Amino acid sequence: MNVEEIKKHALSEIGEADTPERLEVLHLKYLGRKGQLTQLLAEIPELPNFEDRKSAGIVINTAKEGIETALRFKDQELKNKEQEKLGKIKFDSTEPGKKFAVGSLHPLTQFRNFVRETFERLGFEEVYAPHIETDDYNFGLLNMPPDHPARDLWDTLYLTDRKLLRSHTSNIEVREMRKRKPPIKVMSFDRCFRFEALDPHHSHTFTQFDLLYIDKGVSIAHLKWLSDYFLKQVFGEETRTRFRPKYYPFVEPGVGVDALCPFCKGKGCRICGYAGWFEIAGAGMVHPEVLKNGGIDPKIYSGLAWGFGPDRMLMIKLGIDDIRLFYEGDLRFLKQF
Amino acid sequence: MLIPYAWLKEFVKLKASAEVVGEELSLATIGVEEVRREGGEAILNLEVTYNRGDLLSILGVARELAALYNLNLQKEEEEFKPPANTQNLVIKSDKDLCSLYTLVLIKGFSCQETPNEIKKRLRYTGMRPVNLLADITNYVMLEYGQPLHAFDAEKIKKRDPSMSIEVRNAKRGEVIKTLDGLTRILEPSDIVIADRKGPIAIGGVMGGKDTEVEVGTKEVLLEAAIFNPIAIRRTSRRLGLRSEASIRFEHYLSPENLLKALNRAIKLYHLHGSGEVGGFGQIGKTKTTPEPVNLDATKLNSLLGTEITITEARQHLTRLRFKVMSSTKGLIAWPPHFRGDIKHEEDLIEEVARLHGYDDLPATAPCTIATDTPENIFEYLRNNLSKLLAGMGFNEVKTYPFLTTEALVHKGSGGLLKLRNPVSSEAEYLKDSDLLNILNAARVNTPRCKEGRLFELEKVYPKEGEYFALTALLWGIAEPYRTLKGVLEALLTKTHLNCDFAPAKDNLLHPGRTAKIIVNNKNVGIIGEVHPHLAKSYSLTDTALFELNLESLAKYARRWGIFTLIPPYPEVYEDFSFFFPYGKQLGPLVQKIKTLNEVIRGVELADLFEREGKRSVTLRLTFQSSIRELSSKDLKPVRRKITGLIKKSGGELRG
Repeated sequence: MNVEEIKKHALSEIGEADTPERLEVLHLKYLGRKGQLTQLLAEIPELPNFEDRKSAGIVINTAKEGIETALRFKDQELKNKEQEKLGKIKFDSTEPGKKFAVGSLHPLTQFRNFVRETFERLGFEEVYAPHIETDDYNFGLLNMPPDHPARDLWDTLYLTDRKLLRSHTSNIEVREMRKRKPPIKVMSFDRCFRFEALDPHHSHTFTQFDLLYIDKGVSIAHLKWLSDYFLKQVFGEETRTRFRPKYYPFVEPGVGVDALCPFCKGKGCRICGYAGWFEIAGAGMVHPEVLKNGGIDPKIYSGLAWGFGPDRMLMIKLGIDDIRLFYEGDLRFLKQF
Repeated sequence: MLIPYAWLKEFVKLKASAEVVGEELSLATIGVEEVRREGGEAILNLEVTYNRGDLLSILGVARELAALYNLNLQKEEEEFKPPANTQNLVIKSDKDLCSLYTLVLIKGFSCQETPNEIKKRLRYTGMRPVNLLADITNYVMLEYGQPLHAFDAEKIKKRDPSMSIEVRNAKRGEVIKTLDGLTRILEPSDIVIADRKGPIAIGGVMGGKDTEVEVGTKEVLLEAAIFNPIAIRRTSRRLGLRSEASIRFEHYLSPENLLKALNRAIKLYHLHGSGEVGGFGQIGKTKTTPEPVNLDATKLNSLLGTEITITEARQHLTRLRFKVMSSTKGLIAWPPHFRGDIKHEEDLIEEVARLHGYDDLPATAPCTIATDTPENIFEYLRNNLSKLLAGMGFNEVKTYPFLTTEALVHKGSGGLLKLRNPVSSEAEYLKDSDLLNILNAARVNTPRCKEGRLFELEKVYPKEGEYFALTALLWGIAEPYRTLKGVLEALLTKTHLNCDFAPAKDNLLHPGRTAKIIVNNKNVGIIGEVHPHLAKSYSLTDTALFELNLESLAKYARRWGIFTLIPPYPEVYEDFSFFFPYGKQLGPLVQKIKTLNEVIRGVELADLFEREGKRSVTLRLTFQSSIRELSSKDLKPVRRKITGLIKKSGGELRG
């Protein structure tokens, strides 16, 4: 077959090709390593004289270029057709996706992670203390000997005379003091329990967070900074907080922390009970007697304790109106987090 | 404590509104629950705490406000001194029961009505007017914070003409009919006021019916005392009698204040009822001896983070009626008689801070050296396993730590920890496992969800000791046991532990489809299908659950596994299909194959079905050598060993 015939044949076959795969076959057939034109090109050096070699070269290369162009055009044409076809399929890209089950972490767990991360950045370490606690760690060693009237602040659930369900996470305090040496920087985010009937705002089971920091020269100014640092992360940079005196037997001076109501900005609304402020945290400088009970010399060291109720804080932050939602397992609630 | 604002203003000339004064108190002294208006009268509701018993009185709050606003206190009474030649009343008392006991005999009462103003104020503060003689004791108590009790002296004389009054412990079995008409059986820990015939009052808690004052009473024996607060607290709790008086007796009371209150009451008796003092008796300490407290200027500022001068501190304390003297390091302060709460330097620092202004204290970032904090594998597991489960479609729930009465029907209460004072029978027994609680949470959702997946990570409280359990439950899903086991195995790969399963029994789980979870030869949990009867009673079907002791698991779990190089030679896959009778365990066989030869890189269950009662199993094995490409010939000996194992374990190879 001469060059012209090969070319004609090739162009006709390319013209009929209807898939990219077929084009690939044709490319190999004519231009591949063993393709027909390639073979003719390989034969050129065998031609006896220069002029013949020259003209054969020109003819074959022209044919080669022609086939290459045809392949390219055909390839483009097929691609265009394909594109046109893809664009014409019946499909609605706004149909909802196929359901893929994803679960959720409980809002209190997510809040716990947030709180932990916030204070871990400052070097506080998560600790735990028993839920079933002795009267000593829950009360006695926190400057509340038996029959101390301040115990009335906590309606406590008892198992026996000496064993109770801890009524606050402050039972970590003397435990950690006895385990460690200052500087002590620990925190606990865990459950506690009180004698409370269930209603939208009360629960016998709830969560508390406690921060304990003991070192030389720890002051209320540090407490204030830590309190502001945290509350701004929860309620936003513009959050206003204030300190006022508050009595807890295990701190002195004692502090109540208020946050300006994020809803009414202090004007007074239904959510803050028209007070303009939320009492959001309790704190103070660890009482010298408590430091002594923990084996720490109050003449050398001082400490701060700061705590809040995550259930309530989350309720305020998110506008949740019933604390029982946290503990009932309703997926309509849980899946929102 | 309810404080009518107009009454307060009699003691201190406040100019601001009740609301503003309330705000000031709450920022400098004590919580103010609300300021409400009743019939044109503003009433402050104070949340008085144990340390500030002095604020359980109009005068006490007035003293505090006088300090806050730097005003003078008006019309505080002098301490009572009996007129000369007053008849001496004989009293016996014990200083451990009662640090000060005084009785004043007041004679010649003419029957009169309680003035309306007094009645009104009693009502504003939540008390019920009774008769002039009782009302004045209550009125003075509200004003001065010192409870008083009026006995009808003539009634006592009838019982015991000698009027020998004694403060003593009750005798076992002693009985008294109290003012509320109930007969009370007394305990030796109770304090009684008694004459020779027996108790006439439960000291500090309630008077006796027998000696009650009424309209027409001519002679009164007026009692003012400071009882042992712990004894009062115990008695009032035991009898369920907490009164305005007993609450005040639980707090610190000062003898100086008692004598002022007594003077006030006597004056009012005279003014409104024409009563005259006719006798007086007193036993105990009439003066407070305050302990001086040192305030070190350095300590003051290091605890507050401030630069407050001793001069400023001195001014604040003086306004609060402390007596102050300079010392080399700062000052020495003697608290006023009405403050029983000042014992430590830190107490003084709080006083200074309050008057300086808590809200004006600076905020300073703490600056400490780093502390050595070892990695906590429990925290690692807690966070990561929770996130993994959530990723696998499980929703985390939090349930109460108690078993409901319904749960107890299924489980029985034997072996459970029990509360002595439960809130209700639904919260009396502590859960020793989460199973029934998580079933209950699942049921909440059954009206809407035919299937679901839940987990909880919380403490459970078996008798042997509380621990954090990780419990996961799924329902409404085919092959629940195998599905959940797959979840569990996936979780456990992240702990880099080898775990085994062995058939187990649990009353609440399916008797056939239950296994214990074993790690390092230790039982760390249980997995099983929930017993169909139990599932049904919780409106669930196809339900499986596992419970892991996360604290045990944390003892063995590792954050990092062992890395194996990926060989450059291709993997070869081969299936082994065989019948495997029920009654034989597939788990151990798979484990054995896995460790048979180092070219076996993986064993997976590719297919499992049951036909004509026979279990058909297909295991897909991955072979790979780390030194060369494997040929079919290379695998021949391994293959023979595998088929041998299968047969030995009771399997029957399929064609």
